[in-house]
Amino acid sequence: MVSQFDQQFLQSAAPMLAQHFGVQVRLLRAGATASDPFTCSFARTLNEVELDDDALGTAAERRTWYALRADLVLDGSLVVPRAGDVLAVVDADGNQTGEQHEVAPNGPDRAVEEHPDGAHWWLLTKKVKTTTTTTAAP
Amino acid sequence: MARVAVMHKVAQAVATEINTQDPGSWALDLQPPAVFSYADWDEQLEDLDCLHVDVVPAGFSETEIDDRGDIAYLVQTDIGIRKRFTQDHQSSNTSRIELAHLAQLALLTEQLYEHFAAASAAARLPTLTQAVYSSSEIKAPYLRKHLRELRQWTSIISITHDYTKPTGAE
Repeated sequence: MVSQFDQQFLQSAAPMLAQHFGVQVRLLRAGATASDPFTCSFARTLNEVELDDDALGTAAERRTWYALRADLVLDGSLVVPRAGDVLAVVDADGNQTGEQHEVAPNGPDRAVEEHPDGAHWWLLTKKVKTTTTTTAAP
Repeated sequence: MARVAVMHKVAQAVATEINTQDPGSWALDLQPPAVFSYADWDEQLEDLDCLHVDVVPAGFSETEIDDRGDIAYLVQTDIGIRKRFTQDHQSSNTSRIELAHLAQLALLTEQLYEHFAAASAAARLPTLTQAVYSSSEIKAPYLRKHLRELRQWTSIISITHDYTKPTGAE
């Protein structure tokens, strides 16, 4: 059952959150055509992962995304997101900027959680590609 | 020439030993080559979509001074193997990493281990002949946590060399 808070959040806050803090992304999955662009909002955290046995460190940027279930359509079918899927950030024309975030679990937290409202997914991701900017020659 | 610490010299020689082998010796092309460092930074996950082999001094496990004034070091060097998998490495049915790609990294780990472990007890590093092979160990065949959470292969090999020299000398 959806709580009153979740109902109000879904009706009032979620659209504003997406409008002001959301970014345009496409969902990518191996073997499937990229989804149409859709707006997704996220909370950003930095997460440093240390190697066991203290030899080497890998730093990963972790995000939690809030995605509308109805937006996740691949090759004409609504899909359930899963680890290994990628959210690729796109520009206003729908072209991929190069920045990508891969869906992956984190510790005891699963990669994908259904929101109690039944209309959204929480997606945990790690940043796997950064937008490369080219500097114009002087 | 400035004096160089034993653990620094040994790790550098281990990296050289890896990079000077016939490329066909390894299951995967070591590009970029193995890098010697003190692991003083964290590699960004997004930069690990190509194979990284790092050689890092891990310290001394034992030292001993004999009655002739020679000092014997047991120098430990760690080799870390890392590679992040992309969607090109995934099964389109399940999004899981294809076993063939994991198998190559498992084999590379084994090959690097065997390269040093197969050396006889008297084997010396070609570019640092004072360093005599003592032992080796696969500290981490692979880290499941990294595969699950980072979709990254990480394995670690530890090699120990015996290095004896007169106290205070190079």
